[in-house]
Amino acid sequence: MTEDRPLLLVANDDRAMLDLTTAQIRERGFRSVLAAGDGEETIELTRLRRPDLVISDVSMPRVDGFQICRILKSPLFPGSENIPVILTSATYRDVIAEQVARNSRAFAYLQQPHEPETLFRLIDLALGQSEPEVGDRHLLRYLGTILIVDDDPDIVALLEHTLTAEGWSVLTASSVAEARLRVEDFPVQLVLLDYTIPDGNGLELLCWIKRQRPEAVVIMVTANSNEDVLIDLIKNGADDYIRKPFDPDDVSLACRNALNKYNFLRIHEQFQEKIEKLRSVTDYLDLVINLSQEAIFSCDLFGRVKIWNKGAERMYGFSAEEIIGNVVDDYLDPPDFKRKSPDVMKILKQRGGSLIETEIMRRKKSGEIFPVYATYSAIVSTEGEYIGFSVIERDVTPVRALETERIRSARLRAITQTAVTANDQINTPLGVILGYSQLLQKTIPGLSPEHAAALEIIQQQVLKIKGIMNKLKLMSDPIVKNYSIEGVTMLDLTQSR
Amino acid sequence: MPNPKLHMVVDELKGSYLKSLTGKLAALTEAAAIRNYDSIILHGHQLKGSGKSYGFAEVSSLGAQIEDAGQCRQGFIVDALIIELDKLVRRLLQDFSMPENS
Repeated sequence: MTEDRPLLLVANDDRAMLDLTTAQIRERGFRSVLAAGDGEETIELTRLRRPDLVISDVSMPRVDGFQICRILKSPLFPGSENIPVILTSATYRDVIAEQVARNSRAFAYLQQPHEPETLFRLIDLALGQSEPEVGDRHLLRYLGTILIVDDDPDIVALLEHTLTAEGWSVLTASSVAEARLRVEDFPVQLVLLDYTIPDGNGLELLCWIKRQRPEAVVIMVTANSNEDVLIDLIKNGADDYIRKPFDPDDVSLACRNALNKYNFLRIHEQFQEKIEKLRSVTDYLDLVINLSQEAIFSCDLFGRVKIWNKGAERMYGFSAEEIIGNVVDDYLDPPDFKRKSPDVMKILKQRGGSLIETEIMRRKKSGEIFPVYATYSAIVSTEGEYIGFSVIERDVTPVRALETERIRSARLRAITQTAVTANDQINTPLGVILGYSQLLQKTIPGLSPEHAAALEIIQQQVLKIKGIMNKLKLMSDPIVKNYSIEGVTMLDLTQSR
Repeated sequence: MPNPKLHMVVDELKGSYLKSLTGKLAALTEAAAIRNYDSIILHGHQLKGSGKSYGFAEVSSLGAQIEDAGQCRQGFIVDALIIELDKLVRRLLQDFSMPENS
């Protein structure tokens, strides 16, 4: 059975976008539309069904749109090199992506979001169903936007037609004023600038363009054969020059070289920006890590230290130079500590990447053993591989001291409460004993001196007990914490339990 | 390596360029009549730049000579060169089978 042609293949890993694009294309009247959910399926369907056009999203897992392009254009895929590929992307919206698309030999690179009509126009052009028109230049702006500044309409016409045929998006200006407007309004990448312009001169305009749009590449086009003029132009920022009369091939070559230069500069600039951004983030992270009071360090799968912050230096006494590259267990684990780094990795994998230890014992460089609170986190590479772990540890010795103090306070509260109760309970019988002993002293006739002395001792002892009980009651007041009885504090009393 | 597509584009443009030359010739003749050397130099300069670019080396050659003569204020040489240019344009238009005033 023969297939309806043209056959289009749409690839996108986002199911909703895939369905939408496929439906739009069918609605447009293309009856044969294949759908692929990833790069591998796209390659396979292309091999089996030989579509007339591939429309692929760039960002897809495993095999992306750029790779699809390169694979289809490679000798490994004979017969598919002429299948045009339209790449679409919402992710990559810069000159690097356009450059990569160009190098991958894509037919066009379309940034999302876009109007359906834009895609349909590109489809028509890619299938050869219509010829490119001036209005299509921005769609096929493979070679960027070029501004031709020349007052000779014959030169402008020649350059405009030849460069458009080459795939450039061409703007024209016949005066300095017009050229300035174009440069201000459009993202011009390349300027072909005539040296002799009626309302100014090329040199002044060159300097202005370089100030206004430093990234633009300017090629001077001149019939002036004076070497000094040319040198002066180059000194003032001209990137190249073409002599009139010119051969269209030379112009084309010069423009392509200029575009490569532009792209190289832009890519370099973007890398620099990204490096700077990364550097500032790294510096900031370094600050955060190093100013932390906690010990923060990371290790590889074998426990070899990779990062060791200032907090770790302070807490353990080992400098980064001393410990980085060595197995952490050999430095920090007390002699009887059983669990080693590979065990940590196993636990982290089992627990989904994190582990909190409320208290483990560590050893300082001085040999002191002390408790720490530790949080372990697995470090996973972008490919999903476990490559190590990071640890944040906090010395909990002060916390432990506070806890001990808290326990002591609780004990103290209990004792004082007991003292209050005891005072209340003992005072009454003591009063009774005292009262009866005084009564006996007075009422027993002919009390022997020995018995009278015994009663006297009983009364004295009772009064002594009452005195102690009164002092205990006073101490039970929470404000009087340091009240002492003959140099004995309440803390001592509680500790003596 | 020459790009045939580019040369096809240039070939397509040759006709309209030749037509535009008649207008330039008229402007040049007018400038020469009143010895407006700035205008003579400008037109000569433009012809020098465009002629060979369209594949007409003789136009560029005459344009360069007109520019030089203008810069040297040699009006009679400019006149002679304009006559030469006129002949050349007529011949080229004939070669392209184009009526001069079409």
